[in-house]
Parts: sequence; C-alpha cells; structure tokens
Amino acid sequence: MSVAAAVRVGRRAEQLTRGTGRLPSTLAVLAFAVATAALLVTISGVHAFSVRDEAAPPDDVGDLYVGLAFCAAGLLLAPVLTLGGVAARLTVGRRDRRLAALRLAGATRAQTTAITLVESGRLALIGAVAGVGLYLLVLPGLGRISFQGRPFGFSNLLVPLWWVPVAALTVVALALLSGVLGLRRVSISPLGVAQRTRPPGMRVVRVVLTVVAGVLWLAVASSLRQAGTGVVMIVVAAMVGVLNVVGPFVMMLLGRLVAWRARTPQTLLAARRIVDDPKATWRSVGALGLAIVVAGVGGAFASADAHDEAQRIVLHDMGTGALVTLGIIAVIAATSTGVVQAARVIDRRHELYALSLTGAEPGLLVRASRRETTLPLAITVCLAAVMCALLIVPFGAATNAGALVWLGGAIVGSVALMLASVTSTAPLVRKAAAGTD
Amino acid sequence: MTQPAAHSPAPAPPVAAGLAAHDLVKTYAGSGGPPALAGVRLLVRPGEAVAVMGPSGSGKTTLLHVLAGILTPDTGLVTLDGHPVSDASDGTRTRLRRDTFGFVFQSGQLLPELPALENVALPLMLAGVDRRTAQARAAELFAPLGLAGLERRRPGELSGGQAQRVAIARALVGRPRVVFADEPTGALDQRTGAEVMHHLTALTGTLGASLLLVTHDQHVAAWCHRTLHMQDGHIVRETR
Repeated sequence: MSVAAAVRVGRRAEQLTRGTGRLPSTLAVLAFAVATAALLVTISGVHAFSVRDEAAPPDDVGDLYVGLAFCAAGLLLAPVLTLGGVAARLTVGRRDRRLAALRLAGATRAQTTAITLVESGRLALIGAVAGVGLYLLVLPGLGRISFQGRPFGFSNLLVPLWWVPVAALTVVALALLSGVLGLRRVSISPLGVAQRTRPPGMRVVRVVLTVVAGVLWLAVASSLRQAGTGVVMIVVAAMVGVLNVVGPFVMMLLGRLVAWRARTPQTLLAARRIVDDPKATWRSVGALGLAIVVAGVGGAFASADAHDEAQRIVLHDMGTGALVTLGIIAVIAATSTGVVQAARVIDRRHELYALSLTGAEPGLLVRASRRETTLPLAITVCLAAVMCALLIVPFGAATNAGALVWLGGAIVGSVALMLASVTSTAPLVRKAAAGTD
Repeated sequence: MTQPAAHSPAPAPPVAAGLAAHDLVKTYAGSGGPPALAGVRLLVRPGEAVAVMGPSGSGKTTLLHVLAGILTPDTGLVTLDGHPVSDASDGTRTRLRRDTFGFVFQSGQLLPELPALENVALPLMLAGVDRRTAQARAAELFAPLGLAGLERRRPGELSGGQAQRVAIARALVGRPRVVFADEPTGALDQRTGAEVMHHLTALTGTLGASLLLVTHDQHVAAWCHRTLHMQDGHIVRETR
C-alpha cells in the first residue's frame, strides 16, 4: 500500500466513523482558529505601536509603548503555541484505534504518519482560515480601544498582507509538529497498546529555582520603585516564567494532598488525574494563572497615583493594555481547557463506559469531569494570586482597592469563561458513558 | 359458554430464584439482519456458574447485555428472583447494576491513574460508601486473589493476569448477586487465564453469587457448572 493509498484508506475510514461525533474535530478547528486569530491580533498590536512610534517625534514615549507591546506579545506567544499543540494532540488522540487497525492491516509507520499529518494539517488549515476571518471580525472592536488618547482604528491595526499566510502557516506547521510528536504515543504498536506506568516525579530543582527567584525579587523589588516601566515589565515577564516552573510542581503537591483527603469519587478521580500528569494539567489552566498575574499587575499600575498628566495617560494605557492582554489570554485559556478536556474524555472513553456499566450515573461522570478542571483552576487561582501579591506588595502605594477590583473581576471573568468551556464537553462525556462515542 | 378475554394480559412468568430470561427477542434497529436474540429462555440459579459459548454474531454478548439491564429486549422479560429487570426504569437498572451486579471485561477497564486499591474501592464510593470503609472492604479482597502487596500499584505496573484479578476484585467488592463476565481471559495466555478463572469461580462461589460468563474458549467454559451454546440468537445446546 502506497502512502497516497494509505491516506485515501484513512480518509475513507474517517468518513465511515463519523458517527463517533464531530465534536472533537469541531473543537480542534475552533482551537486552531482561536490560535491563528490570537497570533494575528498579537502581531497587529506590535505592528500598530511600531507604526505610530515611527510617525511620532523622537522624544515621544512611543518606544515605551512598543516595548510594552513586545512584552504583551511575549506573554501571549506561549498560550497561543500551547493551544495549537493541544488542538493537534486532540486530532491525533482520537485516531488511535483507527490507526492501530490500519497498522494491523499492514500499513507502515510512514503511512500512518502520513495519514495523521494529512488529517491534522487539513483541520489546522481549516482552523487557520477561520482564524483569519475571526481576526477580521474582532479587529474593528480592538481598533476602537484608545491608547495615548486616541484609538488606532481598523486600518492602522491591520497587519501587512504577507503576515496573514505567515501566521496561518505557523499554526499549520505547529499542528504538524505536534501531530508527529503525538503520534509517537499512539502508534507504537499495531495493537495500539500504550502501557501507563507511575508518573515521573517533579524535580525539586523547580522549587529551588522558585525560591531563588523569590529571594532575588524581594531583594531588588524596593530598588525597582525607581526603575523604568520597561524594566518592571521584564521582571514581570521573568516572574511569569517562574510561575510556569513552579506551577506543575505545586499542582502535583496539592493534587497529592487532595487525593489523600478526597471523600467523593469525583474529587478522588480529579486529584489522581492531576498527580498523573501535573504538567499537562498545568498546560490546560496555566494560561489563566498568567492572565491573573498580568491583570493584577496591570490593575496596580492603572490605579496608581500619577505625578502629571503624561504619566497618568501612560499608567492608564498600561492598565488598558493589561486588560486587552488578559481578555485574549482568557479566551485562549478557555479554548485550551475545553480542548484538553475533550481530549481527556476521548482518551478515557472505554473507562467511562465501563464505569457507566457498573452503575455510575452519567451526571456523576460529568461532575467528575468538571472537577478535573475546577480543582486545578482553584489551585492556579491561589498560586497566581500569591504571585500577584509578591509582585505588587513591594510597591506599597500601588496596591489599593482599585487594583483589587481589577484582580477580582479578572479572576471571576476568566474562571466563568473556562467553566463554560468545560461544560461544552459534557455531551462528549455522556456519549462516552453511553458507549456511543 | 366461557368467552376468552379479548385483551387478557400475558401470563406472568413463574417466580424463580435467580436470574431468569423469558422468551427474549432483540433486534438491532437498522441492522437489517436476523434478530440477535430470537426467543431465549434461561435460568441462572443463585451460586451457579454458567458459560455462554457460540460463534461471533451468535448473540451471546447481546444476551449478557440484556440480562444485565444494559440493553432492553424488544419482547420478553428478564427477572431477578421474580422481580422484573428489563421492564424497570433506566434509573432503577443503573442502581441494579451498581448495587446488585458486578462486571468483568476482557481488558479490565481499570482507571490507569488510580492505584489498584482505589480502583477496587471505586464502585463502593460511587454507591455512596465512605472512602475509609470502601477501601477497607476493597483491601479484604487482595489476599484471596493473590494480590497482597500490590494495593498501591497502578494498572500499568501490573501484569495482565494481576490487572484482571484487580478487575475481579472490583466486580466483587459490592458483594453482587450476579457477576457478568465478557471474555474475562480473552487477553491472557492459557495458564494465566486458568489462574484468573480459578479466582473468579472460587470467589463468586464463596460469596454465593451467580456467574454468567461469555467466552470463546472451551477451557474457560469448563470452569462453570454448565455451558449454553448459542447460534443465530437461539440457545441450541446445553452441556455440563
């Protein structure tokens, strides 16, 4: 069987198994679309501030804005790439049984790889095209947001045309790369057998790094009161990096603690799944932690007292920028959570069916599935709030009621968005429980 | 002259202790083929182990699913100690599966992230038993099944035979009245399969539970008190 023939057979098998539901494909396309749109919006922001800076007088604060735009882009890049990756893993994961069957029928590893890449690439391309449409849809709204006292408008935010295929192809390339990596997990044997063993422990070096970063921060924080905003933003970006280092470790520790104390089956299952793969759990909710930190710091700046009108505008714009960044990250995080949860349900459909046969009611399985997200969400919110406090408190005066309102609003809004996203996967759980996935 | 009643109800099936099937008919909608079950009658007495054998498509797994209340028959009735099972509401059948039946599948369908002890305790927790009691009751089954010391292992760290014995413990932890097993040794070699069957029949016997087992393997069926042979939706033969 040639690669082309294998791809045709795979495509036919895909059509024949459409009854398994379109939701995973739809979610994957949605995730690729959101990733593409977010990438383009990010590029738009940097582009618009750069163009405005070039047209402004040399002594203007435009450089600062460009620097902040790059900071925001840096913060957004990781969640965007993560979202593309989880979407690709979803497209691969649901094919494990079909690919195993094809390998039993004589397809080689190269052929199953080709099938996967064609399928993942196709969905990523559809998503990327939809993402471009989504980008054009949200751009007029973003164009109305005011920076430096005036809005950018649609035309100034619109990226040069050549950036559109670059962004779309980046998402497709990411999907293909993640597809190959994901395939290594599911096509290891023609029987599709993937043995799961004890999860590898987290290295304590994560904690050491975090403690060192915390001590360093407390040592230099007071001197940063006099530092430029750019320096502060770089430090914030570094702290976000620290959050990503310590996040999975804290997730594992608290997961173990909750598993030890769990009284209900849904809490036990949720906690054990966190312990099973704390890195994956962090990937699904970590972007929210990032959003909370950004919102908290941005809120602190926005509500700080200004010495003059120019500084007031800059501080206000920093708050606005943080809010826009938060909004984009919250949408990415919610999409990412929904996709990760859908992939989990598909991975565990046989176990869910078995639980259902033994008398577990579908409602209970849905609640257990929801808790898989709410538990790590709660941990992430606490962790991000602590990180936020660490960042803001050294600035003393900057912490006021206004900053707390910002932070509270950010947490409530983001969590609500993520819960809505998880709820959208409930039909998938019910289908798996009924054995009709 | 006595007129026969125009709409007289169907005669009630005789009350029998155990799990009984009365003239079960089941056709899969849209299959276009013959019925999967074409008038099956049987009785599995308390404490009895019954094997169901037959070629693929003969209806044996459908029979198991109908008897367990997973599927409902088109016509006919399933009763447990004379109480209707197949006519009961979906919620009642779910509770019945949780509280009265136990299941063993070809591959254990254990949850990979839970240690063996928690996998076994899970059905009790799902039924509302508190975790400490559920785990204590689960732990009692490890030694009789030759699993002592493996309580903290995860399914991926167990051999096929060990994982299947954990699955048996999970099926039995709720002290079920009937255990349904669908090809419980299908993924095991003959020696390991014999070990698993030894434990399965011994423990169900000790608990006084009935065992209804679907298999392709004559060696496995030989562990049961009798074997029903199915073909084209009918029980065509019974051997002891």
